[in-house]
Amino acid sequence: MVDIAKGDQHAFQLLVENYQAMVFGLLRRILGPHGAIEDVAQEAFVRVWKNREKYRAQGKFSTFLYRITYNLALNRIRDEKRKPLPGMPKFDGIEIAQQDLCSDTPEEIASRGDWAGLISWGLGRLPHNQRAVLVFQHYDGFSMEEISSVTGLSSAAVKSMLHRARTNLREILQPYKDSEND
Amino acid sequence: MTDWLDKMLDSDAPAEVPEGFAESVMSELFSAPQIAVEQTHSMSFMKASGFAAAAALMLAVGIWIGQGSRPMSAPIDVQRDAEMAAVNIDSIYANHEMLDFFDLLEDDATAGTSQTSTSATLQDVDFALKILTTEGEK
Repeated sequence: MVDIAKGDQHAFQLLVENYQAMVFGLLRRILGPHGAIEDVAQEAFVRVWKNREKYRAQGKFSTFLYRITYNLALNRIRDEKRKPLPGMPKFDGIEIAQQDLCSDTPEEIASRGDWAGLISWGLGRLPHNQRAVLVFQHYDGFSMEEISSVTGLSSAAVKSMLHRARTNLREILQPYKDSEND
Repeated sequence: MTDWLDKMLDSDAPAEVPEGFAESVMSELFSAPQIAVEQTHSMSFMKASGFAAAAALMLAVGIWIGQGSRPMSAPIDVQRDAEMAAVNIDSIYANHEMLDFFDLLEDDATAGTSQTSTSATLQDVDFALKILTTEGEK
């Protein structure tokens, strides 16, 4: 990152190649599999380059990158909420993930034994902040402090939100989990 | 603590990255600004050309005014113009004599082109003098 801060383009390309899978994983889980993942990922790396001099070496680079990516994903979710697709039903106060418009019902997903698809559907039912803290904790192994740094929430709020996320996801997936044991 | 929820979460495979993604990021970052720079250069060249043209025009107008030009709206006075021309021609001859005295007008051996231009000037002056004298008599 020191080389990148000095404007080394080759070092930056290596960085993109190293972290692109991580960014795509985060965005797929936050935005849903049919979200504008590639656009947001590209914008995230462009922002990293443009803000390379603001990066402080004492912090983890992944936290810096995730903070940028997460904020862009939130912006995208807000933008999508403002402009609903034609014919899309409106449910006040309930976040409908984009994937719901394109995928099968959870019963169909569960009957196929597609647990990844079921998790994707379940994550899409969670509020985006609960979804994000769960993704950071489970898939990226972030500590409470790191999640706090990325999301801007206090550690106590992160802990509470993580508990609610797991409880809610458990409730959402409970009706379908028995299919797993069939 | 691994329960059924963690097992289900673990079943979600890593995301696939589209081929050539890193290259597209590099292209987005490092090809677009070059166009912007070229545009900036062409813009600055256009601006500089405009300023140069305006400055040259102003300089020409300044010299024209400084040389005692009459207003564009003033009527043409042939008699006065002929007198002015005669005075100018006298001063040209005087200058020629002075330059000749200081040996600033080159001789035949040293500079053919300059000599040609000098003699052409003197012929022009003679011709102009004849015309103006004729017009003054009218």
